[in-house]
Amino acid sequence: MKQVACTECQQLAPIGETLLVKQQHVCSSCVEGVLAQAAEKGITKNDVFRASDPTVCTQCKADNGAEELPHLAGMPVCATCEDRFRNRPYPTWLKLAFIGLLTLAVFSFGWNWRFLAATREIHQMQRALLKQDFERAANFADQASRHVPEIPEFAGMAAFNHGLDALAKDQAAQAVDYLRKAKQSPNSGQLPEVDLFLLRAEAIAAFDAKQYDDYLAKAKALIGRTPGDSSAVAMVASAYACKYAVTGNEEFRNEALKNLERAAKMAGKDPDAANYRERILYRIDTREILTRKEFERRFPHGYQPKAKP
Amino acid sequence: MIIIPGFLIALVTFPGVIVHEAAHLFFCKLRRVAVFDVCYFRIGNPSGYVIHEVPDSFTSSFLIAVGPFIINSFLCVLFCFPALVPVRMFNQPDPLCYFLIWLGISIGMHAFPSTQDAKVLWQQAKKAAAKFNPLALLSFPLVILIYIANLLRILWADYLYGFAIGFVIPEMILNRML
Repeated sequence: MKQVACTECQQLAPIGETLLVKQQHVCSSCVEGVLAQAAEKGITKNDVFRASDPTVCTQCKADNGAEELPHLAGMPVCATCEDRFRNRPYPTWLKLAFIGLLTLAVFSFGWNWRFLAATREIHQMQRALLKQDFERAANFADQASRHVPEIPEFAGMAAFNHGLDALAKDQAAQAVDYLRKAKQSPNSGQLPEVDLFLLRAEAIAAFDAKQYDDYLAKAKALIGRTPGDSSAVAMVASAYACKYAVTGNEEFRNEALKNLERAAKMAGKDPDAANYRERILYRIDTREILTRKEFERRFPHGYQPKAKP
Repeated sequence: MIIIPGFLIALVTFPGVIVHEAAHLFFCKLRRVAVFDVCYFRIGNPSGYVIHEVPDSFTSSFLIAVGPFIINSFLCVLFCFPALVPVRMFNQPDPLCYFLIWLGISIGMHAFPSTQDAKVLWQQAKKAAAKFNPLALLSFPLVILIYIANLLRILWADYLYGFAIGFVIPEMILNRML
């Protein structure tokens, strides 16, 4: 601690206990007298400061003996206090609140993880659909539906994709069940062409069940919905060919050939359409109704038809 | 347009004010800048403050001024993210989601450095730019942006920023990633 002589009484006093009045040290005993004459001596508020002892810490008042302390913002501060200023701790309530909220966010993240998983699965489903991989698409939609059962649209999507998969695998009856389920799901209007796929599945299911009148009715309904679709016209030809095969009625044969010619013109050089055409012509030639699999087994290199449309 | 007094907004979004001041303090501690007083929240103007010594390097001044922008933006994303998918994508919110959204957006809304922060940064940048400090030169347009952002608060720019940083951008990133 440093001492200084008071300019009024000349007594030594600790610097920290004096005031600087117009740059002169005045001890606490004399200061009242000096300030009482402030007006006469021309002393203003700006002329009075508390003197700072460079050897005493402003914050904790620790005495550093004769050695001066380093200054922080113009004030002498000991090493401990300086460290406290430079590394001011966060209050406990703030730390606890932060940990609590972070825990809540982590918990919420875990709790809502299934939504993130479902989002990912729906994206994967869309990618699989672009590749026409209906089985994978259906599996992803199933997983999304399991993760978020609150959204019945996912179950609808899963049923729709299963329906498309069954249709692609010639399992028409199964496809009908799935597609009917998809159609009954909420927002089924957002499923692309669900009515058309269902109609197509019902038509094929009727063929599989050998209900050829129903097959013809469904195929005609399909044309009504998609007049420009060559496969629908070919399906009508197929239905007439089935009816000819069963009854031998020439009228059905002529209708089959007429529709087949129309379908051929619409399809152009589509290889699938050509294969389907051969199968129908075989049916007209022989009055034997073969499934696609059986036809492909018997005629792996194609069929040379006798009947000409 | 609805004009709501600033203190009411600060009151409703008080976690953002606390995080803003805590972010200033974090960078003061990081750069060993002495802090003399901290007020995390109060009803008044400003609604919070940190009084610190004048840093001896411009990098410290810069970090202390823009610290809340970094920390508040990060925490806004962190707290909004768990609620993002169920609320935005599936419309399946729960009370915890609503709480996290309020918390996240409140924090995001206070990400902009204040005009006081910008003023201090401007003064420090002028001194540092005289010594050709590249960060100081880059700070001038940033300070202008901070002033503009603060002016646009009247048009809810702070809320829009919180919403964008908490929801729109993470949603876009999520959709690209998945």
